This record gives sequence, C-alpha cells and structure tokens, in this order.
Amino acid sequence: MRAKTILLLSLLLTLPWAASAADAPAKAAAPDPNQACLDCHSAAKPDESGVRPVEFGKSVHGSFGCTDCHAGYQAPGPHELTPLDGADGALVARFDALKASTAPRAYLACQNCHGEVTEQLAASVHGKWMKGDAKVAGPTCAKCHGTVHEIVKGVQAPAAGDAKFTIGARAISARCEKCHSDATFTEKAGLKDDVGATFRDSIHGRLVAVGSARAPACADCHGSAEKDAKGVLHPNAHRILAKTDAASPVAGKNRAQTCGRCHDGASDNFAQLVAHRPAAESDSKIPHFLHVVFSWLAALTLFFFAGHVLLDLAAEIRHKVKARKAGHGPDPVKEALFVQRFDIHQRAQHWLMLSGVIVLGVTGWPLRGAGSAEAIESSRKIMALFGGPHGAALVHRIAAVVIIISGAYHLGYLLLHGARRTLAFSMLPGPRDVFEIRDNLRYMLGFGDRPGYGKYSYLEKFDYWAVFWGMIMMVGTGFVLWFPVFFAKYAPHWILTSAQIIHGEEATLALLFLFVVHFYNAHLKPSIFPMNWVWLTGKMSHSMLEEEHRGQYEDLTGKKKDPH
Amino acid sequence: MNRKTPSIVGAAVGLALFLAIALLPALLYGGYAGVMLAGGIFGTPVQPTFAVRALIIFGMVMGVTGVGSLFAVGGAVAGAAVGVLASGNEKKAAVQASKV
Ligand code: HEC
Ligand code: HEC
Ligand code: HEC
Ligand code: HEC
Ligand code: HEC
Ligand code: HEC
Ligand code: HEC
Repeated sequence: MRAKTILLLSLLLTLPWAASAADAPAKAAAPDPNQACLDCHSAAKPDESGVRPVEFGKSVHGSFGCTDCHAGYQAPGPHELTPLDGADGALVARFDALKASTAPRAYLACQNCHGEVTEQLAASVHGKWMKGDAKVAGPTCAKCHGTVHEIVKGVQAPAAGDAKFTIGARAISARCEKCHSDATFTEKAGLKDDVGATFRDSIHGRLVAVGSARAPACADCHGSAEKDAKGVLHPNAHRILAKTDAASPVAGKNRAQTCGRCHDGASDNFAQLVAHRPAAESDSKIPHFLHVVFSWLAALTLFFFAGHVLLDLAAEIRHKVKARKAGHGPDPVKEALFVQRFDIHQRAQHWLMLSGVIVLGVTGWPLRGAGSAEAIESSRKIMALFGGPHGAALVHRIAAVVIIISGAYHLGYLLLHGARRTLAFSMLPGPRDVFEIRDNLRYMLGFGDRPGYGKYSYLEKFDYWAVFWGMIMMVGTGFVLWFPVFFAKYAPHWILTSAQIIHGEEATLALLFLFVVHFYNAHLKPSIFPMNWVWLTGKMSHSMLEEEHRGQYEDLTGKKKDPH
Repeated sequence: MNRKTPSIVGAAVGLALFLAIALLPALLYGGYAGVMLAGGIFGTPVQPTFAVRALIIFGMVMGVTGVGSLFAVGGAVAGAAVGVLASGNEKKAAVQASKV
C-alpha cells in the first residue's frame, strides 16, 4: 500500500513539470487529477461531507492528490476496495467499530510522511484506544487538528521577547474540550468532566480567553516538552500522558518544571496551584472558609448600603418638593462664603487614590468578570485598549503603585500632623455616630430631622476606614499575586489560593461600593449633583456646610439654623 | 452660564455613552459578580434557586448602577474641565477685548 502511495506521489510531482513544459493554453486545459473525485465529493459548507476545493487548495496538503491519502480509491464511486489485513486491517476495523472516522483508511497514510508524530501519538494516552479495548474512540488526527482537508499551519512562533517556548495552536486546545468537557463522552471514557470548566475559570484560561499569547492552553501544560537546538521548548501535544504516568509533565516533580517553563523558579509548592481546581476547593479548609466569609461580607455590606442609597434618594425627593413648596432657594450670602475643608495634601492623596482605583478596576475586572462567552467578548475589547491582557496587567501594576504611594503619602501626612500635635481626630468613630445613624435612618424614613453632623458624617467615616481595610486586603493579596513564585517558596499554597479569593471578592465589594454608594453620596444625589466640588477646590460653601454638616456649621458660626 | 451647566451636560454625555457601549458588559459583569457571591454564600455549583436568582439580579442592578455612575461622573468631571477651560478663554478674550 505504501509503495502505491509513493508511486502516486512521484507521479503527482512530475505533473507540474509536464505542465510547465507545455505552452499556456495547454496549461489552462491541464486537467486537475482531483477533479474526477471532486465531481462527486465537493462540499459547499464547512460541515458538509466531502472536500471544499478552495479551502483544500489553501491547506498544508493542498498540492496533494486525493489518492495520496485515499489510496486505492478510483473514480467513479461507490468504491470497491481491497480488504486490508495485518496491523492495518486491525486498526481500520477498530476505527470502524468505534465509528471514529468517515474514512479510516486515510489515516494509514499519515504515517508515510508524519512517521514520528504517528508513533508518538500511538504511544501516548490518546493512542490506547487504537490498541486495546475501549468503549469510546479517543482522538484521531482530525479530532485535534480539525477537518483534515483544511489543515493550516497551527503552531505559533515564540512570542517576541519571550522565546523560551512555543505556544501550541489555541484552536487545537479548544478542541480538547469537545471530548474532555462532554459529560456523556467522559463518563464512557472514565474521565473527569470538569477539566475544561476549571481551566476556563483559572487565571490561565481567562488570560487565553481574553487574548493572551503567553498563558498556557491545554496542550502547553500537557504536551511533554522537548528543547530544540536553540533551547526553545516545544510542548508536544502528541505525547500527552495520564497523570499517573511518571513521565507525564503534570506528574510528581515534572509538574514544577512544567510551570517553570513560564514561572521562573517554580517550586513543587507553587505547582500545586490553579491546575483544575476551583480556588475554594484546596486541601486546606481556609480558602473555602474565606470564600464564604468574604462573600457574606460583600453581599451584606452592599445590601445595607444599596438600601441606604434608596432611602436617601426618597428622602431627597421629599425634601426637594417641600423646599419648592416653601419657595425658598439657597441663600446667596451663604453660597458665597466658604470654609476650607481639605488642604492640598488631602486632595492630592484622594486624586492619586481615585485614579489608581479606577484604573485598577478597569484593568482588573475584565479578567475576573470574563465568565461567559459574551462577557469574554467585552473583556477582550477592554483589554485590547491596553494592548491586550499583558498590557493591562502592566497598567494594573502601575496603578497599584499609585495607590500605594497615595496610602504612604497619607500615613506620612498623619505622622507629621501627629508629631506637630495638629492631628485632628474628627475621623474617629464615636458614640455620636451611633445616634446619628439612628436619627438619619429615621429621617430617611420620614420621621424627625436630619442629624446635624459634625465635620464627618458616619458615611464619610465609613468611606475613610473602608479604604484602610480595602488597602490592606487588596495591596497585601495583590503582592502575593504579583510575585507568586516567591511567596510559594515561603508560604503554604493555601495562602496563595486565599490571596486569589480575597483579591477577587474584595475587589467586587470595593468597586461596587465606590461606584454605587460613594458616587451616589458625593456626586449623584440630587442635592449635590453633578458633584460636591470639595474634592477639587478643597472648599465648601456655608450653605452646603449648613445642609450637610450642621453641627460643624453651628460650632463655626455660633448660629443655630433658622427654624423653618 | 451657571457653573454647573457644563458638568451636567458632561454627565448626560457620559450617560449616553454608557447606554451605547457599556450597558451590556455592565449587566454581564454585575450578574457574574452575583453568581460569584452566590457561590460563596450558597455553595458551588450554584443552583438556580430563588435566593441565587435574586442575588444575580442584585448584582446586575449594582453593576449597571456602578458602571453608569462611573460614566456619568467621568462625564461630569470632563464637562467641568471643559467649562473651566472655556471660561478661562472667555476671560482671556474679554481681557484682550478690553485692551483694544
Ligand atoms: C461518481 C461519483 C464518485 C466519484 C467520481 C468518486 N466517488 Fe468517492 N464515493 C462515492 C460514493 C457514492 C461514496 C459513498 C460510498 C458508500 O457510502 O459506500 C463515496 C465514498 C468515498 C469515500 C468515503 C469512505 C468510504 O469508503 O465510503 C472516500 C474517502 C472517497 N469516496 C474518495 C474518493 C476519491 C479519492 C475519489 C477520486 C479518486 C472518488 N471518491 C471519486 C462516489 C464517487
Ligand atoms: C492529507 C490526506 C488527505 C487528502 C490529501 C485528502 N483526504 Fe479525504 N480524508 C482524509 C481523512 C483523514 C479523512 C477522514 C476524516 C475524518 O476522520 O473525519 C478523509 C475523508 C474523506 C471523505 C469522507 C467524507 C468526509 O468528508 O469525511 C471523502 C469523500 C474524502 N475524504 C474525499 C477526498 C477528496 C475528494 C480528496 C481530494 C480533493 C481528498 N479527500 C484528499 C485525508 C485526506
Ligand atoms: C505525502 C506526505 C503527507 C501525507 C500522506 C500527509 N501529510 Fe501532513 N503534511 C505533509 C507536509 C509536506 C506538510 C507541510 C509541512 C510544513 O509546511 O512544514 C504537512 C503538514 C501537516 C500538518 C500541519 C501541522 C502544522 O501545524 O504545521 C498536519 C496537522 C498534518 N500534516 C496532518 C496530516 C494528517 C492527519 C495526515 C493523514 C491523514 C497527513 N498529514 C498526511 C505531508 C503529508
Ligand atoms: C497550567 C497547566 C495546565 C493546563 C493549562 C491544563 N492542565 Fe490539565 N492538568 C494539569 C495538572 C497539573 C494536572 C494534574 C492534576 C492533579 O494531579 O490533580 C492536570 C490534569 C488533567 C487531566 C486529568 C484529570 C484527572 O484528575 O483525572 C485531564 C484530563 C486534563 N488535565 C485535561 C486538560 C485539558 C483538556 C485542558 C485544557 C482545557 C487542560 N488540562 C489544561 C495542568 C494543566
Ligand atoms: C491530542 C491532540 C492531537 C492529536 C490527536 C494530533 N495532533 Fe498533531 N498537533 C497537535 C498540537 C497541539 C500541535 C501543535 C504543536 C504541539 O503542541 O505539538 C500539533 C502539531 C502537529 C504537527 C506539526 C508540528 C510537529 O510536531 O511536527 C503535525 C505534522 C501534526 N501535528 C500531525 C498530526 C498527525 C499526523 C496526527 C494523527 C496521527 C496528529 N497530529 C494528531 C495536537 C494533536
Ligand atoms: C476524541 C476525544 C479526545 C480529544 C479531542 C482529546 N482527548 Fe484527551 N483523552 C481522551 C480519552 C478517551 C482519554 C482516556 C484515554 C485512556 O485512558 O484510555 C484521554 C486522556 C487524556 C489525558 C490523561 C488523563 C489522565 O488520566 O490523567 C489528558 C491529560 C488528556 N487526555 C488531555 C488532552 C488534551 C490536552 C487534548 C487536546 C490537545 C485532548 N486530551 C484531546 C479523549 C480525547
Ligand atoms: C505557557 C506559560 C505558562 C505555564 C506553562 C504556566 N503558566 Fe502560570 N501563568 C502564565 C502567565 C502568562 C500568567 C499571567 C502572569 C501575569 O500576568 O503576571 C500566569 C499566571 C499564573 C498564576 C497567577 C499569578 C498572578 O500573577 O496572578 C499562577 C498562580 C500560576 N500562573 C500558576 C501556574 C502553575 C501552578 C503552573 C503549572 C501547573 C503554571 N502556572 C504554568 C503562564 C504560564
């Protein structure tokens, strides 16, 4: 059979020569030897049986004759084929029995030209089904490479500046899931059905989904890698082994090496992370516990403050209607008088913090939120604004440094004022706040008066102290994620897993709190809209002070509010 | 012109921009935040019970409100900046006019 293929191949190779020897009109008339087959077997749509001539022509095998692979077939069909025997016959019989292919014999041809690959595949976990008993067919070449007639070059060159390894074709790794995430298939094959889902949920899966060319897909971790002459590693997807096989790149000590392809210095402890395990399900109970605690914390905090915003909005509207009926507007004298509320340092700290946090949110959330196909599309677009997920990752780190500077600036500022004994303790919570919470809830519900807050209301104090908490959580865990290999050297892996959980949950809480609750209180509330200018000017008008911080206003002016 | 006007116009433009490009992602991200909170509170895999659905809808509302606020406030700040620059130019123009 092989002899025949080679004969056909040599015939084919002589054809272009013959054609080029003839003159132009003769060339145009030279019949395409494949045309005889295409007369019956040409397809128009991607999943139709047969061959799409244009796509076939563009494929890596586009210059081949049909019979290079379909040896023994002759036009016209239906075809009479000589029965096979020996190993070839047994293989084709297995393919037939497991309905693995529409043309099993064609796979016998691959080894003529791709001998090494074919042998590697046969020796891998994916070759077992071709030999022993199996309930389902494992992958044929087409199951990974796609329609054989349309194979194009898939392997990507090493990314510029990062030439340590090649990235196997993303499209191929996406096809692994056709089997490994198909519950009926995995059940029959005795495999786990969640490897696809856990991968997509992992940091790597998310990065790949939003367009990373550096994060690993299935084949990059599971393919046993070899170094080429230049020292570039090529993960080889034809050599995938069971995790119980000592030679598998994900087994035992090999695993740290596999991670180490991209994470320099990865230890065994590091290698315990992420792979196919939801973060909350680690060996330790702590990440799970933290997951529960932080979810409750986020949900309850947001519930409380969302309710607060709604109540306040209702009170604002009532107040406005009343004021309109009473027919008095703002007092022009009080509008023109100002108190200094924040000095330039305080404002600068806030500017740094707010720009950092917004950038962190915009570059971080798309990765965390990439949970569904539609969301991934949006995330990809947002990441593209930063030059892809790795550009966004860089910007994310820069923004992290900005908020750290802001925090350090603030602590320095506090220390300085402390040393000069000019530190105001107006931010410290006290019993007064408890009463003001009660009074304000009553006011918002329509009973009683608005509390006459001092310099800072309980909402402002909460905002302020929440930033302390948020900074400790986000910056602390952020550092662990920034230098995971380093931390994995010294800390048990549940610390890293916990960091990942906290970073995500706390980010959800912080962003929603800031953009919904803080923005409402400082900008969107009808009496303040479009904004409380104090963050820019540092000054607050007497009329606003009287409205928002009546206690402070009265202390300042010695006046009581006129009773209306 | 009121000092507020440019920033109110800015906020409106921001909100319009939000509706045009960011409403859908905000819904999706917010809903997903809800799913993740539900995972922590009721356990994974998340079952579509009433409480879980409520949490997801809550997430969507928060997501849309949050991202919408971000656009509106961003617009307001941009509007205010334009307003300050424009009035600066007006003043300059006025100064120049008075010189002539
Ligand atoms: C006159 C139409 C006709 C022509 C020409 C033709 N075939 Fe077929 N071919 C068929 C039909 C009909 C079948 C379906 C046979 C069956 O179901 O048993 C088929 C099936 C096949 C299959 C599917 C596998 C199989 O054995 O059923 C392959 C591969 C194939 N043909 C290759 C070729 C090649 C290569 C050529 C050109 C050398 C060719 N055919 C020319 C009609 C044709
Ligand atoms: C590189 C080898 C190769 C070449 C060249 C090739 N085929 Fe195939 N062909 C295959 C393989 C492998 C299959 C089995 C596909 C599968 O398992 O899904 C196949 C399947 C088929 C089938 C079965 C129906 C189907 O779509 O799966 C037909 C018909 C067919 N080929 C026709 C052709 C014709 C006509 C040509 C020439 C234009 C051609 N092939 C060239 C390898 C080849
Ligand atoms: C007659 C020789 C020959 C046969 C038979 C053959 N191939 Fe190829 N194949 C080639 C050549 C030549 C290339 C192009 C290599 C290159 O451009 O680097 C190629 C390329 C490929 C590639 C491209 C990989 C990549 O990403 O670069 C795949 C996949 C492939 N063949 C699969 C198959 C399969 C499956 C079969 C059997 C159905 C088969 N080939 C049969 C010669 C052959
Ligand atoms: C970051 C590297 C990495 C990536 C990417 C990756 N895996 Fe894995 N995979 C592993 C490790 C490590 C194990 C061993 C897990 C263990 O020992 O529990 C594993 C185990 C498996 C197993 C065996 C599961 C079992 O416990 O029986 C399968 C099947 C598997 N992976 C398939 C896939 C598929 C499919 C993809 C792509 C969707 C993929 N892997 C992506 C690292 C990876
Ligand atoms: C489990 C999935 C899988 C199967 C099955 C598979 N391949 Fe591949 N193949 C890949 C991936 C992924 C690449 C990209 C580079 C890499 O990871 O090795 C690749 C690359 C190739 C290449 C080009 C690079 C190289 O290593 O020479 C050829 C040729 C190739 N495959 C041929 C085949 C043939 C022929 C078969 C069937 C005998 C086959 N493949 C089966 C996944 C697969
Ligand atoms: C056609 C379906 C199919 C496709 C496609 C496929 N696999 Fe598999 N895979 C299987 C089957 C079946 C087994 C079990 C083989 C056995 O044990 O007999 C398996 C086993 C594995 C194992 C070993 C699991 C263990 O027990 O530790 C890994 C890892 C794996 N596949 C990864 C991949 C990757 C990566 C890809 C894509 C490049 C892929 N598979 C594509 C069907 C498939
Ligand atoms: C093909 C390259 C590659 C391989 C192999 C790889 N990773 Fe990664 N991994 C990445 C990239 C790229 C990132 C994103 C890094 C970043 O943005 O800082 C990443 C991120 C991570 C992170 C999150 C850290 C962070 O910065 O948020 C962890 C944890 C991680 N990988 C663990 C592993 C483990 C464990 C393995 C082995 C089982 C592994 N990786 C294998 C490329 C790889």
